[in-house]
Amino acid sequence: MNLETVSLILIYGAMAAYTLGMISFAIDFSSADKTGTRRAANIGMSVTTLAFLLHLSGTILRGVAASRVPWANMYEFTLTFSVVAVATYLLLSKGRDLRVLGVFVNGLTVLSLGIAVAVLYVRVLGTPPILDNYWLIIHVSTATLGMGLFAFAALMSVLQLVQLRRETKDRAAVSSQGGKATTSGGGGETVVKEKKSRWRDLPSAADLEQGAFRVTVVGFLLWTFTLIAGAIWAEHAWGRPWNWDPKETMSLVVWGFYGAYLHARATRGWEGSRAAWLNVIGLISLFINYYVINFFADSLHSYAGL
Amino acid sequence: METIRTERDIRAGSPRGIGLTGWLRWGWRQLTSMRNAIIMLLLLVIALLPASILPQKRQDPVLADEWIEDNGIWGTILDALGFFNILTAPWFAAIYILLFISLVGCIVPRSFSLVRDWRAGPGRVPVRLTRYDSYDSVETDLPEQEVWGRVEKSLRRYRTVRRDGGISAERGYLREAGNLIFHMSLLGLLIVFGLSQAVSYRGQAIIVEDETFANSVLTYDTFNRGVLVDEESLPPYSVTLNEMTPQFFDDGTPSAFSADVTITRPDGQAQEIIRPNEPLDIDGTNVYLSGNGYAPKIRVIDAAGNVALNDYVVLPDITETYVSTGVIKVPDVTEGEQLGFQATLFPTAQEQDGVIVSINPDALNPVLVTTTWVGDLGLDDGVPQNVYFLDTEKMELITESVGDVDVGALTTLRMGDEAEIPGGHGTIEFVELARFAALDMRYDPTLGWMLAFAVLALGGLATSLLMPSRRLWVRYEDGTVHAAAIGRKGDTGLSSDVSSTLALKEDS
Repeated sequence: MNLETVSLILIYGAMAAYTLGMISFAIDFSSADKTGTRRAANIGMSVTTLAFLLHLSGTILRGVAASRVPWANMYEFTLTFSVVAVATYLLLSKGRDLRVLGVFVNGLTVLSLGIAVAVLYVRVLGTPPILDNYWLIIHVSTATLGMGLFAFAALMSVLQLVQLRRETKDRAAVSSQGGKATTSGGGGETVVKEKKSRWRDLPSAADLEQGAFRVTVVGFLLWTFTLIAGAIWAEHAWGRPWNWDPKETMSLVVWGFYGAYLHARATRGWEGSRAAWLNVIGLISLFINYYVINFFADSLHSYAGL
Repeated sequence: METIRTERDIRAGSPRGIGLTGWLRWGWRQLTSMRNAIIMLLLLVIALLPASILPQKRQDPVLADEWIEDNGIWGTILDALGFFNILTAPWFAAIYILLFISLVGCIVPRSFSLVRDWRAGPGRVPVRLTRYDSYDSVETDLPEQEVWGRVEKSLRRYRTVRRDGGISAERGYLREAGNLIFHMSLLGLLIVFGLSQAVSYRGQAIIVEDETFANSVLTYDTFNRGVLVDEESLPPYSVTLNEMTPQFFDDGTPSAFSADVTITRPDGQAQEIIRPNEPLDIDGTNVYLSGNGYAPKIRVIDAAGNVALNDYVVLPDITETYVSTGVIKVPDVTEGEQLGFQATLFPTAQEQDGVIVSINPDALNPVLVTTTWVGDLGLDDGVPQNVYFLDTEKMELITESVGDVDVGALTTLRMGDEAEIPGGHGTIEFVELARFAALDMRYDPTLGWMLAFAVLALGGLATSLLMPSRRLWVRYEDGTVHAAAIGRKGDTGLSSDVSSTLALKEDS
């Protein structure tokens, strides 16, 4: 029973706990009783915290087993970025009620870990000489942090789009009933038949947009640093800071999409739905950078380890 | 009241156009608008997607050509449109040139605006503060001057101006300055990159152990230089490879590489070790260890009994397990036709199911397997040839029958073995085995500038995203202090700024 096996067992344990968390949150999400104490959600929160601790321990132990930081191949990288995404959720939940997002966070984390364990898993390998350097700690850590933050922000953007659609439908329903209700909630006296939602209310689209923006800002700063640190390391390792290698180019594409998102947020007419779509496109490009380029592209960067 | 009109207003007939200058102004406005900046940025980014996914000719020309051939009509269309060399495609250049013109056209006026705003300072206090969401007020019995003193102390981070019976405060100059610095640094980076292409050079030298490489354009294996590089200006040094030491884990994957070299310069010699991630700096040129492999010493004695070749031959095609392939050219035969061999080295050879494989990347049991070609190597044509590629156009493969198929006759040599060359053309001997190191040497004087602009860009970006931009006003009227603040959309710190201002703490 070596450290590598213990690490894997902890990750399996985390997956089980995330699944339980997802189920608890799903029960809360679809609960008919909207006003009582949300016991299922509270259980979900505790279980998610437990799952996070198991996940974190498993990741740390994997690093110990390999005698280096736990992000030198795709399996380890997935462990790390998903732990960052969950940590972001838990951290932001302090002082805010984000229990309604719990079902999505848990579900997506189980999915990521499932892919990691089933497809990406490799035994602990020695570190290739080119990665055996302090830049691994600097460059890849910020990439992982950025990725975890972007993932969480994109979840909020997706939910924002869902909410925008729902809010538009509600407004249309209200106005079609011939009332004088205005979008800002002021307006005249209208008795509107409230449509009971099957699901719990997500935060408002405006709140989700704000949240997504602030998390994306931090992620974007980290990603910019990742690009710069990567260029510095590339100069030490390969003799040139930038060579339009597929991974380098795709990382710039990710940066560009998120840059467009930030511009959109500052442009009249492009906030709201268009900005949210750009955020989602940014994440898609990030996942192409991660899952597709690592496997299929002829790149100096192919450290999938597979 | 009478409305006074001039001739210009009373114009009958069709509406006035805006003229050429009008249209140019409209075009410029459009180009520098945020909306079009987003669109052009998205176009640039989308154009980079195939640059990442399709093999590019500058990166891997062989793979790119393969792709074009394998994909028939699509390959030809995409190639004609420049999709296999996107970075030099004219349409790509158009996108980024327009984008940067838009950037400059937006940044320069904004810089002037920032200077103007800085000079003008915060504006007047609005008459009705109550219409703002963040409005709050507090009663106090402090004297007016005391109130102002405490308010100004709490508004330390702002730029304050006392006028009209109130205080006008503004912050956000740093935010805008950071924004401008970030965008200008991007422009700086673009310029520096372009310059770097012109003034830098890069070459690769493959050096076998105990051999020396002298730094001159002709001795490199590959050499690329920018248009402004003077080939005579290469600094005079030579590199002798003393020993190339790769180390491996138990499972055969590499664990470390180190190249022990001696650098000889006009003013003396020095012994250094080059490792991955630890390049050597020789008078501004960086030397990187980019690869290593095997170079067996081959002795060929021709049919007349004379030594036709007695040298180390670099086998540059290396698999992950260090099975190395290359060619051996023997042009200097004293009689008969020239010889060429395709050679594969198995560092730790073992026979499995009748096939030779290598079970370890270290040279524990080296075996060389060759096939023989006889004829004209094509070296006397006067056309330069790739050292590592055997041109078999005027050569014939010596074959043997295996079943009813004719395959190339294999000669298998362990280290120290000598064998007859099939066809009676002499003997070939695998004398001993050495390693080679592939050293990349690169000179780029713009690296410091790149780093400076990159750091400046990051700093500017962080400032522009994290520092708030707000206006705050305070008014004192008969014992009541009123305050309100406005900020950018989504700024959640407004009410806390207002309340901390109204707290009127003595030492905030």
